[in-house]
Amino acid sequence: MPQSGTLAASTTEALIHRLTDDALLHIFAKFCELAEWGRYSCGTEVLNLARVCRRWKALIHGCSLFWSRIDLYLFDDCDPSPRVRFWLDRARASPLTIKISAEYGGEYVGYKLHMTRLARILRECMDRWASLTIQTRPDDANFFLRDCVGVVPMLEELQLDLDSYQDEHWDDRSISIDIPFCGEPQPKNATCVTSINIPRFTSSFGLVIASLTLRLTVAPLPFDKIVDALRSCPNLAKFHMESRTCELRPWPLPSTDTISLPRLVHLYLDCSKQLEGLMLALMRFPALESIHLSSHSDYSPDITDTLVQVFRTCSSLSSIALDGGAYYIDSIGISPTSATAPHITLPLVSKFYVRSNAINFPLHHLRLSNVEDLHIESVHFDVAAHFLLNSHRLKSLKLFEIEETPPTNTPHSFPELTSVKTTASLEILDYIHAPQLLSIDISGEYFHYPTKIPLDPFLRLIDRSPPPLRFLRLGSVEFTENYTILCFEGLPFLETLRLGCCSTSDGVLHALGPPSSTQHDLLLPRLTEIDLMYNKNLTPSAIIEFLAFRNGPSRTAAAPMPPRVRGLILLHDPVERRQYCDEIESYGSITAM
Amino acid sequence: MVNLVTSDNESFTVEKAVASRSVLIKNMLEDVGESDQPIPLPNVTASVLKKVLEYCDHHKNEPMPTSEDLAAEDTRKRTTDIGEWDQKFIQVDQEMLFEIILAANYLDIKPLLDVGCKTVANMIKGKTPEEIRKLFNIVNDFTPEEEAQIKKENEWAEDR
Repeated sequence: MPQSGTLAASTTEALIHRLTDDALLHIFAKFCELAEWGRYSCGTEVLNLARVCRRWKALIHGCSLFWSRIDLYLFDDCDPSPRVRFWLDRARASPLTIKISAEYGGEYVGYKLHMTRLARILRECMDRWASLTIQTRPDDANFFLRDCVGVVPMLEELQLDLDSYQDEHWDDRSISIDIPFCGEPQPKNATCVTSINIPRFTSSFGLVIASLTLRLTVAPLPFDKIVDALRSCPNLAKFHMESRTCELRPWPLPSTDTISLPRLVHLYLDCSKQLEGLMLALMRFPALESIHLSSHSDYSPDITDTLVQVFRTCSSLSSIALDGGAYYIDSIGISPTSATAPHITLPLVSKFYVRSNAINFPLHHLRLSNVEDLHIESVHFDVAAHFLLNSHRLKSLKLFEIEETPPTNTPHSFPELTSVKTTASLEILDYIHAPQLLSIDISGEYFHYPTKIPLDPFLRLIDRSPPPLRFLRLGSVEFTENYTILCFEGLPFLETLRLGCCSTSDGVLHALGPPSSTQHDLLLPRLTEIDLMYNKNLTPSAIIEFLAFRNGPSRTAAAPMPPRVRGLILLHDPVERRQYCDEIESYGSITAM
Repeated sequence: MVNLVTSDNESFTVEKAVASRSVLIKNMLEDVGESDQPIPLPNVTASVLKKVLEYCDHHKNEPMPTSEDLAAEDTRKRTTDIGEWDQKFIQVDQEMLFEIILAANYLDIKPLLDVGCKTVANMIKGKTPEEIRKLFNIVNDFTPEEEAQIKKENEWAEDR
C-alpha cells in the first residue's frame, strides 16, 4: 500500500472533490469491503465516512448498498431498535443481509424484550431477507424466531449457530429450533441452511431448501429429530452432516420409513459408522453423483452391505470418497462373505479417494475403469495396486503412506497421467510409466525434518521415459547433491522448482549457475519459479550467487541467457534473515523472509 | 495500431490490445471498424493517459474481467489485495491518483478503477473524520447544529 506520506495533499485545494459521485461511491464500496475483510464493524466505519462532509454524507446516506447489510452485535442492555430502523430507512427496497450476534447474559431479563422488538421490526421486511445469520443462545434465538412467521421469498442463506455454551445445558429446546418461515408455492430461490442445531421447518419452507448442513455437537444425538429434519426437505440437492458423537437416542431407535430424496446430488457424512449406516439405509437418492463418508472408528458393525447397495443403485455416481482417518488399518477388510461378492463396476466414477479402510469395505470388488483422479492413503499395497493397475485413464494420482510395496521391474503405462503426489511411498513409482507427466510432488514422512528416503525410484521414473516435467517439489527429503543434479539433467522443461526442509546444500544451486568446464549445458534452462524454504544446509551466499546469475545485471552481457526467476526464499536462521533478506529481494520478484 | 488524442491535443499511437483494455475504446473500435481516424479523449490529459497506457500495456495479456468476475465482486467475494506491480504503479501524488481514478471511470477500465479506489480506501481505513479531512484537505462544512444532530442520531454507534 502507498504510505499516506507519499500521498499527502500538496495543495490547499481538496483534490478529492474533483472525483465524480460514481468514483467516490466506488471508493466507499471498496472501503466497506476492507472493513468487512478486516472484521471492523462496517456499519460504524461507514458512519464515520458520512461525518466527513455534506457531500460524502449525502452520497452515503443516499446509497442503499451501504445499508442493506445489517450487522448487529447485541449485548447487555443494548436495544437494537434505533440502529435497525436507521439502517432499514436507508436500505429502502434492497435485499437484506442480516447478521445477529447476541451476548445477552442469562441473568439479564431485558433480552426477551429486545429480541422480540428486533423480530417485530425485521419481520416487516421478511420479503427482502436474502441472508440471515443468528449467533446467540438458543433461548435468545427462540424469542426472535417465534415472532418471525411469514414468507421469505428471497432467502438464500440461513445460518444458525445457537450454542448453549455449556454441554449440560443442551436440552430439547436448544437442540431443536423451530423455523417458522414459509415458502412460496412457486419459489424463485432455493435456500441453503447451515446449523449446529437441528432445525424444524414448516412444510412449505422445507420444500425450498436445496442444501442442508448440520454440524452437530450435542450428545447423545437425537436420531429421530435428524430424520424429521431430513424428511421435511424433499428437494435437497446437498446434504452434509458432521458429528463426533457415537451415542444415539432414543434407544432403541424407532423404526421409520425410508426418506425419498430424488434430487440429492451431493452427500457428505462425517460421523460414526453406526449413524452413517443408519442414514444410508434410510435414504433413497437415485440421482446421487458424489458421496463422501468420513467414518471415525467405533465398535459398530460394518456398513458394507448398505454401501454395496448404494453403489449398485446410484448409477450416476461420479465421485466417491471413503475416509477412515489418518491411520493405517492393518486389515484390508475382506470378510468371508464379502470375498465371494460379485464385482461392482462404476464406469462413471472419475474421482476416487480412500484413506485407510475403517469402514472395512471390500475395496477389491470395486471396478473403476474410468477414474481420472485417484487418491490412495494409508492402505496396504494390495489395495493401492488394485486401483492403480486397473485405472488406465488416470490424470492425477496421490499416493500417501502405502505399506509393504514389493519391488518390481515391470512398470504399468499411464498415457494420460500428468500429476503425481506422494509421501514416503516412493517405491510405488516403479510401477508407473508416465510419458506425459507434468508435475511431481514428493514429501518425506515428517513435516519439518528431512526424511532419508531413497530417491532412486524417482530417478528411474525419469530415466525410463524422460517426462516433460514442468513442476517439481521435494519436501522434507534427504538427498545428496549428485542425486539432485542427475535428476535435473533429465528435466530440461522444468519451470517450477520447490525445495522445502530438504537436506540440499549449496552444490545444487551452484549446478544451476553458469555451466562449468565439466558441465556443458545449463541445468534447468526454462526455470522461472523457485521456492527455497527452510533448507538449513543452503547458505544465503549461494542463493545470492544463483540469483545474481539468473536475475542480476550481468545477465545482459552474455547470450543466450535463461529467463529470470521469481519465487520465495525462507531462510532457516533468523540472524541470516535480518542480514540477507534485503539483498536477496533486490534481485527482482523474489520474496525473502 | 490505434491513435488516441488527449484533451490537450497530444497524440498517442498504441497497440490495439493495449487500447482495448478500455471498454469505451474497445466498443468504439468495434463500432467504427478498421479506421485510421484518431479517437478523441476529451476528458483525459496527456500526462494521465500516459500513465493509464502504462497500466494497460502491463496488463495487455491478461484476460478481460468477465461478467462472472463482476458478479463475484457484487457479492463481495473479491479480495482487497493489490498486486505488487499495481502497488508500485499507483504510488503517485494525490492529484495523479484522483486523475487516474477519473480516467479509469471514464475509459471504463474496471481493474484500474479498482486499484485506484482500493488505494484511497486503504488511506481512509482506521481514520477519524477529522483525520480524513486533514489527509484530503476537506473543509468541514457541517454547521454545529448539523454535527450535533448527526451525533444524536448515531448515539448507538458511539457506544461501540
